[in-house]
Amino acid sequence: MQQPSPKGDLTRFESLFSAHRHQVLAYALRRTAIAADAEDVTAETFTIAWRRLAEVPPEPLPWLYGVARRILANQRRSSGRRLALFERLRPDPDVPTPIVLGEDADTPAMVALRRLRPDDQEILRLLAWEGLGNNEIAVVLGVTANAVAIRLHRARQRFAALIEQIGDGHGVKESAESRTHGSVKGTAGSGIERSQ
Amino acid sequence: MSDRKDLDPIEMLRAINPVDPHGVPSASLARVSAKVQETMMSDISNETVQRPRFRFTGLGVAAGAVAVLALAVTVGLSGGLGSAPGGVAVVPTGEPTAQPTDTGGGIGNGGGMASCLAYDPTIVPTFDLAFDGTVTVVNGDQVTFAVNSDFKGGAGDTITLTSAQGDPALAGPGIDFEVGGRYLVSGAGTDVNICGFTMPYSDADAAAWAAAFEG
Repeated sequence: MQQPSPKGDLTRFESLFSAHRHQVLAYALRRTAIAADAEDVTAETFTIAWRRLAEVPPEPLPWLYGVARRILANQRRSSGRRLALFERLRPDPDVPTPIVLGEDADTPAMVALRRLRPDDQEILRLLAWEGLGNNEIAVVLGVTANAVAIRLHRARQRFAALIEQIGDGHGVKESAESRTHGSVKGTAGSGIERSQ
Repeated sequence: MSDRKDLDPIEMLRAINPVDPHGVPSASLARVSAKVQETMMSDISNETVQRPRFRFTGLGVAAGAVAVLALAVTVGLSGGLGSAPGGVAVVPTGEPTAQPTDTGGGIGNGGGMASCLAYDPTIVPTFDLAFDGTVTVVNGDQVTFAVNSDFKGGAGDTITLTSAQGDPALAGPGIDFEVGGRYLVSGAGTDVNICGFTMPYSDADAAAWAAAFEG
């Protein structure tokens, strides 16, 4: 087996980090209530990438999202335990709900998104916010592309139904494009800065 | 047609994307960079790192250190959106001892040298360039040196390098090269190195560099 070059690995990691740090940080910021938590998730994601560089695929972004997703899940479990302890200590805690902040928080789409079950939320976010296609989402979630297509189809239906229920979304219909099970790339988004 | 697009639930979701990757706070990126670099430096300097295939020894340690320094330069200093990528700062410290600091402080908290490796003259031979030079021309970020003594790199009689200013919080203060000033200069490619690896000339430091090359 060819001996890996430390300097070559470092160069590769440098390229990986430079190319994707914005996207991974944005991914984490979209899913955390505290910016510092998102920074920790991003740093830990790239630390894992650094230590497991040989496992990073040629198209690294979905892999990085997948790592970040697992770190976020661990972080939530940990914070959940802390929150549970806090609530036991304070029967009537004034704890802010950790939701995505911003002026769009109460739009029908965001309200509907929050009402979906977590799996549906995540697959729709990966489609709409990260702009991933089915194959890329499959890498993030660790499932097959076929499973993604099925889950996405159902999540879209539930999401559209919820928007209609919310009222402001009456008349909402899926376009032909959006019925293609997420094979199109998303737009960059609105660029709204999150509250710090 | 646009009305129909506006009614697409997925398009509605896209329109309220709360974070644009191009708009993530540069301070957050800098803090992430500092944390990652801290881990990398720790891994490289600690040979018990859990990457068995990545155990540096001898020159390998130094080569890794060089690459991490390059990361500090090209990643750390370009952490701010809109700043010039690959910018290189020069640290004019007379006491070239840039110990890694608590990078958790990040930008704006006075954590100068947060991204720097500890200065070690034995690392200098692993850089592309190392020489004793006197500045003859300063033109913006381009600095031309008359080479007094060439340790490595075949600089010839004169050489012009780039010495962009860095972010003080990440790499320490920049250096104002003065025409006529004599410096010990190390570089990567066409860039002057940072973090105490370029410094005003002193006999003691020159001797340390010479010893490192002999060793």
